[in-house]
Amino acid sequence: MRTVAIGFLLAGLGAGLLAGPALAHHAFAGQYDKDAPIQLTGIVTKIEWMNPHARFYIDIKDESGNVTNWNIELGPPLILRRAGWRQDSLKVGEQITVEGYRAKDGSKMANGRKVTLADGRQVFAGSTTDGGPTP
Amino acid sequence: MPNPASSIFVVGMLAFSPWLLAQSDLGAIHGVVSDPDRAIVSGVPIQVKNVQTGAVYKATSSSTGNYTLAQLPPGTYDLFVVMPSFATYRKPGVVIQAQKLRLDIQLEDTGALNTLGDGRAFFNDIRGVHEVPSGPAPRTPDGKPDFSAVWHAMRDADPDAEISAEKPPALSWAAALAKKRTESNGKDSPGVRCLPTSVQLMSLFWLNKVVQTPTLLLIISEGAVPAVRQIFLDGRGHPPDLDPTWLGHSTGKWEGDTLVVDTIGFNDKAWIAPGNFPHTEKLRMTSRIRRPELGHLEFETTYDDPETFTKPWTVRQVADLAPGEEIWEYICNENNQDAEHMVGK
Repeated sequence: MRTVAIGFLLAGLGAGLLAGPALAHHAFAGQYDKDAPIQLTGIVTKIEWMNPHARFYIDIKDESGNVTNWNIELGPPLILRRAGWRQDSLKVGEQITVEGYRAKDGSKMANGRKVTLADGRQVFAGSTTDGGPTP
Repeated sequence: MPNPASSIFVVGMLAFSPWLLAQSDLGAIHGVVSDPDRAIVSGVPIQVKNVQTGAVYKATSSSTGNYTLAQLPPGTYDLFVVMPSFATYRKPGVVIQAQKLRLDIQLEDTGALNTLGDGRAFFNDIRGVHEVPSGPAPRTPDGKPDFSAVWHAMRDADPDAEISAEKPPALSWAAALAKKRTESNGKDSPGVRCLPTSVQLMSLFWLNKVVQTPTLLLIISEGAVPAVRQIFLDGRGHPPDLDPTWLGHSTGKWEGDTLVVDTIGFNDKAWIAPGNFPHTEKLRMTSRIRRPELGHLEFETTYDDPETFTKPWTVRQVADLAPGEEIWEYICNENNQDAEHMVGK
């Protein structure tokens, strides 16, 4: 019994995570803070269907009526296409809600983990394992 | 969502139950696999390797996320999970006697943070779409195995390769730099500035297209900079006066059904992708490429650099055939806003 207990303890102490295998263009974790989830609702102002990462921009209005423009980063267009996105999947003027993580450097940027249209449809919902923590 | 308190209770109850210990000489590990949001994940390969005997046991999580590694001889095991789009999970030194040990596994995101277009959905989809066909490898008219196809290199790793990848024989300066690079989430990777990221022939990400002729092998890696690697098969040697370059000069020759590619002439600017290791201009990279069957292409890459490693370091990589896929244009510098915002840790 004693041996079992020690073995379990050692296993617990030894638990760890290795780094991911490699980096394609960049690791989002170097730029965005996984401890700072954010949910933004606003109007799409621009879409950049470009490499190395597609982006869209949204105007967010606060309670005082001040508007700030946020830059939301996605994967590259060629992979978004394979996942079912098209460059017109989002449209300028559309209201959307995006969930992601805030930029570590404090800029008005976030990565996009989930994008939901005003009517509740997700712009490419992804797999059932996709989803973010609720801020 | 699993309740952590109840899980601990179950673990304790099972681990200390004399009734269970009396049942058999063999042990077992079981539990539930979940993602960072605590949603269950099915189809996850869980592997343990007996430290004493080297025997490897495997299980796969079910549709309810449960897995069981049964009939384990008593001993110490290293447990690991290599699942594309999740960080590798490893738990060394799990001691198994004649008990059933509960070990719930919560996988963590890679540095991609599950971003749309760079996250789990993409990898799940591409794995789901491409049923890897079986059958013999095709051959060229001159009888060589034909590697020509589109390949997806991100797959479940060979357990031995994974273990070797954890313990590269790096000199202290190289180990320290690799650790710093990993801890800073690759902030200083050349790839962040749209320069070549790593030296291996086949990109670990996205898709690779191999075009084979009798005298030249081309590997087109989607997302890589530059996209094309040339491997000369016409019998030429390396030029004697090579200028050091990012990805060096590659020549290949056949040893039976294995193509052995020799690459030298590197500068010291790109990284070695597994482990984010540096290298010097002394690097010699030997890649042994095989197509053992229709659906798989194997790369066994040896990094020999006496100023970086104490001895040559070999890493194995297996790519799956990706029927119906094609390589698309990727111009990295089109709109690269990231470099100035990379904070790192």
